[in-house]
Amino acid sequence: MPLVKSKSPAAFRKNIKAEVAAGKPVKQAVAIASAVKRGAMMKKK
Amino acid sequence: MSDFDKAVYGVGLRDVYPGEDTYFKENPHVGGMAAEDDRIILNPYSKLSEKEKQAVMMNEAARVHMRRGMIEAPRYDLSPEQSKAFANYSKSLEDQRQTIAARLLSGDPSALQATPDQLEYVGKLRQFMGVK
Repeated sequence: MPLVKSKSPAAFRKNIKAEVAAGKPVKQAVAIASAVKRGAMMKKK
Repeated sequence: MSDFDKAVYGVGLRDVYPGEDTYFKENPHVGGMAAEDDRIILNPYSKLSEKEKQAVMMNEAARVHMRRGMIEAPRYDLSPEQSKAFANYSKSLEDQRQTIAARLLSGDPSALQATPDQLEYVGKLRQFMGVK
């Protein structure tokens, strides 16, 4: 399932859950979700 | 501290970004992590001592080196106790091997009893990273 490219906290949490469900360790999932969130924030600027 | 002005064991150390900050704030027991940009970030809300922070940085730096393929990936088997303990950590055996190697290197007892193969790999990792 593709990750939600949004800077919202809800999208951030959803992306973490999706990555963990896909089998990633929690911290790795957080790192990925953070990178997606940052990407979305940079795009908005 | 500004971005990218520090490095430990050959891996950059940077400040946390907003998403990471949210996670760290909610999880002060987490000492740090290897971010997606292969930089180490430390939890500003954790109460770790300087010695513990050094161990976290060593652990995360090891993960970055393994992830980037700077050193060959561990291929050893896990002991039955480790297999049980790390079953929920990740579905990936590769992730489990890497976290065990990083934890053994940094002296984290949660890695459990190391096998001879694991000790051999950690010796190589130690040498590669210049850990005394």
